[in-house]
Amino acid sequence: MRDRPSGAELVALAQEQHQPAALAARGRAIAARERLYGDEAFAACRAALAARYGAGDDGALLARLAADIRAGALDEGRPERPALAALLDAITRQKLRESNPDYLEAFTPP
Amino acid sequence: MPDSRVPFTPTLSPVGRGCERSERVRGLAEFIAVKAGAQAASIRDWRELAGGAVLRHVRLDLELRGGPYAGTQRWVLRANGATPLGFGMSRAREFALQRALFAAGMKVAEPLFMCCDAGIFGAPFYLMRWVEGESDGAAIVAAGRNDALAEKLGAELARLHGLDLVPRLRFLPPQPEDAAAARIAALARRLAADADPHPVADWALRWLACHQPAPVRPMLCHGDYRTSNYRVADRALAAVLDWDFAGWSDPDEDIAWFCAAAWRFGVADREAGGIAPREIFYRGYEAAARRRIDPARVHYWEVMAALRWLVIALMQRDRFLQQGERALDLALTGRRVAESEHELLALTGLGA
Repeated sequence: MRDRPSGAELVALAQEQHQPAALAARGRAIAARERLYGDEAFAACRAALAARYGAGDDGALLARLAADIRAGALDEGRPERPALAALLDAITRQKLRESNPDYLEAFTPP
Repeated sequence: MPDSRVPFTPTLSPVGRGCERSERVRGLAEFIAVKAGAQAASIRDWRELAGGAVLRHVRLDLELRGGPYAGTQRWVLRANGATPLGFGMSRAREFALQRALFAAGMKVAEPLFMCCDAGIFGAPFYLMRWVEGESDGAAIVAAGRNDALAEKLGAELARLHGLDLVPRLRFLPPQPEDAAAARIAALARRLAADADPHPVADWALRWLACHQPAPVRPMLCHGDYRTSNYRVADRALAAVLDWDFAGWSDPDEDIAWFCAAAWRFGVADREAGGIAPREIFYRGYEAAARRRIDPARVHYWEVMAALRWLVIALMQRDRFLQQGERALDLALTGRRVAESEHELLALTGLGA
């Protein structure tokens, strides 16, 4: 569900000497939050996708969802729209909790 | 004037190592002397500027002997970086554009000399006068709300859109008949080529195709008009920078890009570039353009802006993932995709 590069890739890059300290700290913080939330952070989203498309890895499930959306599944008036919108919102929020929680807080209306 | 000079030493020089480096510095000084009609030019100070993800900038303190530029000069050199992003115009075209803009009285740094010979610096570059001030977006936003600046930026943008430079700018790509359709097609191509699925981006493409506004006559647009791409001195606009994405487009695209969430530097409610409410920016634009801004059209272009930034973030990420550039800022940009997705859901009425 997470975007690339992974937290592990960011940590490896942050260890290289020439990287600016502030950016290295940001990379490490993202990785730490990923570990904190763990794989189960996306369990509910994964289950909802699997209920719709059958078992598959995250990439395959998201690819099916994307194809559905290109075919109109999110269009106004479609019965599955509210559930799919809630699912996209949940995935996006969890990704932001890990990659940029300050942004999520700043851009969430009170 | 803040003194942030770094003493020049040959080891800090442009590209390459050791002898090759000092060779390049000598070559650059010779180039400057010839172009500036000076008997001699010496580079007193050399400062590589941070912040350009795609292009390199070097601030030069020079001493010129003789000619129209005799004396102490502070210039900036703008050159291609290690990996081209894959779009944006060449330095030579940007130089020509900046000359036309400067001649038209726009607030841009005075462009001085173009060098197409990659042998001198390692890549084509041009020189322009240094404009003192702050361009770091986070610092500008942290300095607090600035209505006068936002109003002036609105007016300056309206002046740009009002310029009739078609005959001078024939080197730009032709004017699109339908700027939105052209953008959608380009973004769809990039997304289809990406290795990962992006359901929110696919939704945004569909929304954009369904809600296309009537095309207008394309105007000269900056293409990246936002906080971080202008310089501020004494809280006032000193220069608009970074013209490499300029081209013919729908002027509402520039207005929306300026107001996009991505360029508010965390201050969500100062919608005009993190510096003021958007009404202030609109007021400056409308007064100078003598036209009313249609909020619905700007909203449309704000969805486009969020999707365009998402695609740019993927391209920056690929410079790390695919092209092997070991730069953490590029890698981290890949993790900013979720910010655009959040904005796209909110703007299209799907966010919680």
